[in-house]
Amino acid sequence: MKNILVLSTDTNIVSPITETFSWDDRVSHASDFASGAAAHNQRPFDHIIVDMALVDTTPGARDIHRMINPFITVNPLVQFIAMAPRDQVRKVVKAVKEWADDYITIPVDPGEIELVIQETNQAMVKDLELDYLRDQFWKTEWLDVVHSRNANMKKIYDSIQSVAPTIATVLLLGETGTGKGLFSRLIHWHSLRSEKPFIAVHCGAIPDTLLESELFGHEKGAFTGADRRKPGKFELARGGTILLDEIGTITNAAQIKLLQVLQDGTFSRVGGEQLMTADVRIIAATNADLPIMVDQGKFRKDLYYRLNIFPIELPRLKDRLEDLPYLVDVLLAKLKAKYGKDISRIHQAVYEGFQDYDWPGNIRELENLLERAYILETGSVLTPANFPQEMVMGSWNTPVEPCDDGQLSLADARHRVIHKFEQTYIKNLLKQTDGKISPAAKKAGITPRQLNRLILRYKIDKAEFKPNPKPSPSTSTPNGKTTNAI
Amino acid sequence: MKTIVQPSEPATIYGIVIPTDWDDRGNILKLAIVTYDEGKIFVVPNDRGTALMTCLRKAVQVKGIMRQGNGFQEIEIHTFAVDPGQSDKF
Repeated sequence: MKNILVLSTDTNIVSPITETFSWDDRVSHASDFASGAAAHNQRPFDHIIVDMALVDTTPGARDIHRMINPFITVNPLVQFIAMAPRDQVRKVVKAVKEWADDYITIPVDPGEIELVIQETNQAMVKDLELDYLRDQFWKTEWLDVVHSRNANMKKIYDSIQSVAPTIATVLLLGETGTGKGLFSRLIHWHSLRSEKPFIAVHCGAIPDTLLESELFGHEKGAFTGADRRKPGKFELARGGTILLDEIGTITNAAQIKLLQVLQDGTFSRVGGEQLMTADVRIIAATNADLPIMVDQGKFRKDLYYRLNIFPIELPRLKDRLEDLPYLVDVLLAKLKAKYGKDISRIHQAVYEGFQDYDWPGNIRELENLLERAYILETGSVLTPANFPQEMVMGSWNTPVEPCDDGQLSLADARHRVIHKFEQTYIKNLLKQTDGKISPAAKKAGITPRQLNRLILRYKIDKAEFKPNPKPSPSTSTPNGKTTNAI
Repeated sequence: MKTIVQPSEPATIYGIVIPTDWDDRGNILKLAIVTYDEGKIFVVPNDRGTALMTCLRKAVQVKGIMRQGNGFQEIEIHTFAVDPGQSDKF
């Protein structure tokens, strides 16, 4: 039995589609994304036929991933079929390139629909089989990590499957928070060295004068304070894997020694003459632009070539927003295990804020924001009130809408509205009085002491409203948005 | 266990093509194949060996004659192909 949803405002299209299917198939119709998603929540559909006219006329539907994500969250294998009149076939072809699994044209041809449904069914089975085969390779505890709907990420996982069992040096590239540390562990745990040590060295955190000794060890008397022989990380990682994080920060002397390891597989301790074999698989990671550093003479060219044997560039979170629902689910499950609260989802307004946000700190930032909100949340849904205001601005700035979703009691919903209203009211008041308490209190008809109490309760920084505000503890993002420090 | 091949015998190996030598401008001069058991087999840089450059950082199946060098192994390639089913090999 097939379970199909037709998303279209044109009811005339629905009948011929319904007639194509047999009596035991279930064909439903929704005239907008929201009601379609609500029906999908009740009973997930296998195929969703999306009229491109609806995409064109729905506000915000230009960002189609935002519209289809709620469907994918409920059923990751749901197949989308784009639909448009024959003379607009370019539209559906574009849709197939970007998000749809297949397309049909209007007027609908029963044979075409049957064929498309059959093919998307086959694609779904193939996806299931591929996921199964991939999962055979990945160790159970990593299955949560290696899931993605992003084509680029899928290629990365395939690359990791290939390279993990080899001895090839891997260079992990990507912005901060994209998961370089996690991926280095993923490679190690799926290599032949998984039973041996995994040593991670954050090169940027070690003072230049100590880095060489930390990596390669030192002999007694090698330098002032070297009162005994000390093994380095390369010795500790013997037989296993070493992660050299922030590789772009290492000193010239350490670069030369590392080059020797990569070329000959040998090294010697600082102050020592004995040549030792480095039986270590090297993974390097950086968010720096190494070719530019090479051009500037800050990084050795020959070392760069030898590190760049198998580069893997991890995408920014902004470039894999289709994975957001899944990442949120995984992170919430982790938080549930850590804190034991029964919170398993986030409010739709937060999702909307997430889609528009730039994520300069990538997955690490998402993790931190969720953890902060998780700790603060008293209900069963992570609400916009516990996320930075800049992030959920617009969707959560209307004080008359309780974020209940039918989940909160009347008392809780009322409390939230009052909370939000008072916060907005006081901010507006302080804005009018340039952050001055006395005139603001007078306008509000309360005492300055009462106003101060409310300011404290809602954690409002009155300095923000002064003509020359003091800088607040926040991080600027490239697009000018700010993230409150957590 | 490392890939075991008899010297100067036809062999088929599976692995990933990686660069091993560069000129001053960063152009790749020599290649090797890293196998799924942590072996490293250098590619003899003849015409077919150079043609393997098109498969750089890809999983391949390579057929050729293996030779034992001084502390290393090398292969003179006869045929090669991208190996889409590489995950079956490990």
